[in-house]
Amino acid sequence: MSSDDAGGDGASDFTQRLVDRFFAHWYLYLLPVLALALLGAYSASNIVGDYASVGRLNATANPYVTQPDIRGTEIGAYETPAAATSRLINEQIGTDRFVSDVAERADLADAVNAGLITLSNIRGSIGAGPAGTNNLTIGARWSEPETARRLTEATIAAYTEYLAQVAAADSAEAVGFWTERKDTATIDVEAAEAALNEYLADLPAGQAAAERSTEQVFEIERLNSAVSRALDVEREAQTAIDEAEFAVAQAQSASARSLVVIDPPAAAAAPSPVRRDQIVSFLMFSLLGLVISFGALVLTTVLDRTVRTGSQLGRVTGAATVVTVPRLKGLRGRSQRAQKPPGKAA
Amino acid sequence: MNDDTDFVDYEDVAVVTATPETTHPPAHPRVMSAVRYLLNRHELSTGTPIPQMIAVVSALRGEGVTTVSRSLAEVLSSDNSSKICWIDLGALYPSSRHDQRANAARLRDPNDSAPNSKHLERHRAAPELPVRLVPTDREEISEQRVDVGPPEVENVLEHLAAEYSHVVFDTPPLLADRDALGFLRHADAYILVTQQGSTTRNQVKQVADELRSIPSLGAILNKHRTQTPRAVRRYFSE
Repeated sequence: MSSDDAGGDGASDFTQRLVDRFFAHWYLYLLPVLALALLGAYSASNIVGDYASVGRLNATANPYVTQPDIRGTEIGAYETPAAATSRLINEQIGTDRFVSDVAERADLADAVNAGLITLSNIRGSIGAGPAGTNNLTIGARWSEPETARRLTEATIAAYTEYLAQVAAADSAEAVGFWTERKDTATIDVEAAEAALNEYLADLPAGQAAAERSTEQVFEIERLNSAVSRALDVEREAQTAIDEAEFAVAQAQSASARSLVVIDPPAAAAAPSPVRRDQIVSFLMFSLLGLVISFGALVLTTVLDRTVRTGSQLGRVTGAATVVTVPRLKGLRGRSQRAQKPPGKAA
Repeated sequence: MNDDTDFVDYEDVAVVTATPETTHPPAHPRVMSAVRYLLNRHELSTGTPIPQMIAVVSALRGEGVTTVSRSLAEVLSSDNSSKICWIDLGALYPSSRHDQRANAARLRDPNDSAPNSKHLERHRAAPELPVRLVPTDREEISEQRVDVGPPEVENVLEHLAAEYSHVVFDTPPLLADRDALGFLRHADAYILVTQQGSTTRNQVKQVADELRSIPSLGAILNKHRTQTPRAVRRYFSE
């Protein structure tokens, strides 16, 4: 027997009922934890170590960092060159176009097309991260060491080319514009020359230049002038093309220098250790089991509307004194014994 | 404890019932201890004597009202050396026709057949059944319910109040037998018995609300069972 004074707040009472329910059926609530822990152990045992290939690069001269406004890309003032470049690389890895380019460069396009692997597999296996203020690493993990190396190299190459394309994009547009202008000018030159030649062919045969009339002289000069103007436009366009192409070459050269490979990726001799992954997997499953068990415990406690504790009974009834009487195992048996005829009972 | 000391017989308690006494559970020292605590606590906290007519009530069946009421009668009898009457209201006012017929059959037992006084009949029988008070018109009981508050019930209570120091009512579950509620107006106080994990808080609250006009001696959480370690329980009791 124990006594309780009526009282106790609701939160404490709920916690008490929660604890009582857990200890009353602890084996039921530990079951999901054990089951998922076993599942986690099984899952951890099946984790196979991948081969990692890592390339280390220097990003001090990254044009993105020195020119934060290139194509709307913003580099935060708090970001280091390595962190900013790593973030930009990982953003590119998030795009299918970039990953497809990586797959193509790593000779995995056929496998992707055949459905043996997916772009998501490749995306999940590559990544970049800062390794200091100016240095960053680009790495890949794969079940084969050579493929991991190729993936790392492909990622570096794809990003470098992307960087060159972006850095030289304005100049490249200028090249295209002036090339179009030059083509038009060439057509104009050809047309002007054709008109001049046609006019000269129509003049009487054997007519000397001194014998030409004033009208003929003026017309020939006009046609010559047209040819000269067309040639000037063509030359001007070519000059602009040369200048734009030089700018492209400059930008590409600058971008090529922006990411300097310090340590080129190499094929790993041994797979990466999996102990950490195994522990994380086991803990994650166990944590899931704990969450499920705790949720079930809370749910069953909330749904249980019966009186479970003395303080609860005191609060509901308003009784000043509440006494708890334990379950008496022998009471029923003794009651039946009491049904024996008088004289036989104690 | 051995078998002989675990339970207590009722040699000093008058029993009013329509069913054989042996169907009722005996008093248990643990239950008696709990009841004794309630009574002592009441006397110490209020400074008033224990009321004469005490009803032991519950919301639903099987919560342990009979065990507690029998233990209460035994405690009152043994601690105060006074005459106690225990009334089984459930037997006097069966809530189902099956119970009525069953009780009527018992009442027709040849041992009980002779008496038929105006209001009730009293037999001195075996030591285990010192007093038996039998309602008058057995045919009525067998055919229809006996309404709460007939004149003979009033007379019975007057007679018992005059003859006994305390009268203990073993009340049928209030939410299952609404007739018993009317009878409780004769009680001076009540003890509410609730079985752990059986009755909902709303049901207990409903019963407590219905008995608001009657003083409460306390509440008993019966068949309490916990597997929480003692150290954890101690933490919550702080």
